[in-house]
Amino acid sequence: MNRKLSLMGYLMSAPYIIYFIIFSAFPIFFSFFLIFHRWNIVGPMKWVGLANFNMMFSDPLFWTSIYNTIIFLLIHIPLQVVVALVLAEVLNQKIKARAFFRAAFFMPVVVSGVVVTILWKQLYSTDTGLLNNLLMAIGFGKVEWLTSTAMAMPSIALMATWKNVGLYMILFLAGLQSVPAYMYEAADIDGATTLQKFRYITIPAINPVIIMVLILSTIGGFSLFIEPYVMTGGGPLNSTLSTVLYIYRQGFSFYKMGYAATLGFMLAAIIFVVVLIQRKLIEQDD
Amino acid sequence: MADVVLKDVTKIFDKEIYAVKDFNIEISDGEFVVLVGPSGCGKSTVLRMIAGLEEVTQGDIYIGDKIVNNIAPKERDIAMVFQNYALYPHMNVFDNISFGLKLRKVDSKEIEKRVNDAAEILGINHLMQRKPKALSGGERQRVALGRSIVRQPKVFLFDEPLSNLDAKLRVELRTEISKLHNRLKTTMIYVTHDQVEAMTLGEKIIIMRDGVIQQKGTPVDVYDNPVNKFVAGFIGSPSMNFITGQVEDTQGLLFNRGSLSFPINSGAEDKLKEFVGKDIIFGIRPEDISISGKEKGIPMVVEILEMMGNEIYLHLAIDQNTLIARVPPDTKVEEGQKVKIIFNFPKAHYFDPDSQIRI
Ligand SMILES: Nc1ncnc2c1ncn2[C@@H]1O[C@H](COP(=O)(O)OP(=O)(O)OP(=O)(O)O)[C@@H](O)[C@H]1O
Ligand SMILES: [Mg+2]
Repeated sequence: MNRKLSLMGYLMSAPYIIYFIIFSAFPIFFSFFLIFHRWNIVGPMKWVGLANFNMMFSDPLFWTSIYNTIIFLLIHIPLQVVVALVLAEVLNQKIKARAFFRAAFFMPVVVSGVVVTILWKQLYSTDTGLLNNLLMAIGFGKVEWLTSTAMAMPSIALMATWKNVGLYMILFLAGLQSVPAYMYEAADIDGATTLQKFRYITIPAINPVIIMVLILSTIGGFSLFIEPYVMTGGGPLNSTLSTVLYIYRQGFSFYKMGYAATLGFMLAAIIFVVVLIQRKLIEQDD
Repeated sequence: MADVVLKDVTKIFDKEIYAVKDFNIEISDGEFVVLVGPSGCGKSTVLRMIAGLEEVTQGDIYIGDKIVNNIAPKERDIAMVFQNYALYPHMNVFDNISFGLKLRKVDSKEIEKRVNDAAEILGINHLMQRKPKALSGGERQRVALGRSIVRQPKVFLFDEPLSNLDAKLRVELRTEISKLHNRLKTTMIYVTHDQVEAMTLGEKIIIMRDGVIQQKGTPVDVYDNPVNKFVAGFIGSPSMNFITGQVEDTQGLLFNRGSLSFPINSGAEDKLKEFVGKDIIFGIRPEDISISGKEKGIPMVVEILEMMGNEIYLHLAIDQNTLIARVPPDTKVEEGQKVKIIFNFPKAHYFDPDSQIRI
């Protein structure tokens, strides 16, 4: 009887376990293995020791891609956290059509990234784009959204924020709703203004959600790929070449699987360190 | 310090729940008033309206001589102890208590002094660095009290501040609150569902039921002269005994309830005359029943004897009628014993069974 039950358990979890082995565990081990090899998928593998690492440290384009990604994160994350928090706060009030707005802001999250990117590519188009037409209509000049090295990455960050902000808004909304009303009432009686209540009650109360959102959007931000891949192809002048896009090229354009795996591990290590630092900085002792 | 006046205040939730109805009270500056009533009668709602946390549906609330209906809580200069403490979980005890002072830009030395003084009174000095999570229910309640004390407001509002304490601590803090009031002479409005607390604390007590004031007065006054059956039964422990019977006129008035019949001689005969032939409710407090040593008296049987130490509660019965009597601890009775009882008639009450009003 007991054995039957446990067999049943294994059977029921089998789909996920199989999925995990094929798409997570195996690739991780395999890519770790690849780090020390040179391999072009079709040919034989060749042991190269630490040569891939040497190559990485002297590869200026890899470090450019890291730099680009950090620029992206520096714009994207603060923007995303602030906008998501403000939206959540507004949609947590008793306003009209609040369910509609909640759904509307969440929409882009569930739309395919490729579709969103194609849409925004059109919006951003320098000569025929809706955004520039709008700017011209109210008397401003054209902006080279995707065609200047200075604007391309910020433009992508803006779009990525638009796409993901709904998800983080929902997380914040859940956090805000778990703050009991009596805490605000006590603060009212203690004499707090709206801003003081936000600063001294809301922010500390949702601190765990803020950490979660920061970490999730940091990890998500480091894996920036579809947007530059579809919109700019990493240009102009590599200004939107993200790390994952660069890794993808090394692997699937140049067939340097060993080198791509090495860069992947390096990226994972960087993400790990950044997240660790973030937690140290903002986590409140309890 | 200020007067607090509620004029015809009504609170309706969701267009149909009358939580408070035509509430009129005048609390003078420095008075200690206790609002008491069973759970759900609207006590918290009254307090929250005074605090400004709940809008008034109808009527006016005055603090000082200003109508405060549309004034924000923080402008009303009141302090409140919430029924569920409402401490800030991410702040330690010191910050919880001093938060209101910091927001009001009180000098930090002054804050330190006031917090320490309050902590001294409440016996929570050693807890200053702890978060609320690491406190017992009683400690949290004392921190909540501390938070209100340091503010030195015009009016104190207490919503069942002692409900979660053990009996000993409750008595201790009750005394502490009394002393506090004597020292500060600030208007205090205190809500409780515990009538003992109400009786011991209040200069004036207000008894509520279903959102309506039943009676206002000093503790002694409401105890001795309850306006209706509800108040009579609510105040006092064990509760007043009620027996429904008929008034008969046979050479003097007689209360008749089968085997529990006795002549009415209380000075209320004039008023009771119009009830001849009708039902009436007879009310007598447990301490106004005594065991007769002689043959005279109403025969009853002691069903249960509860020894309380300083007194005995006797559960008496005859046929379907039961009574509780409170007698001295040295009374010689046993369970199952047949006794004769005597009522202290001047202290008896009579209620109209339809209106429940005392006759
Ligand atoms: N926000 C609300 N919405 C609807 N009804 C409410 C609301 N707040 C209170 N009530 C109702 O109003 C009535 C009075 O509630 P209130 O909290 O004032 O009672 P209370 O006397 O403080 O009771 P307790 O002793 O249990 O604290 C209750 O019937 C309650 O259900
Ligand atoms: Mg209450």
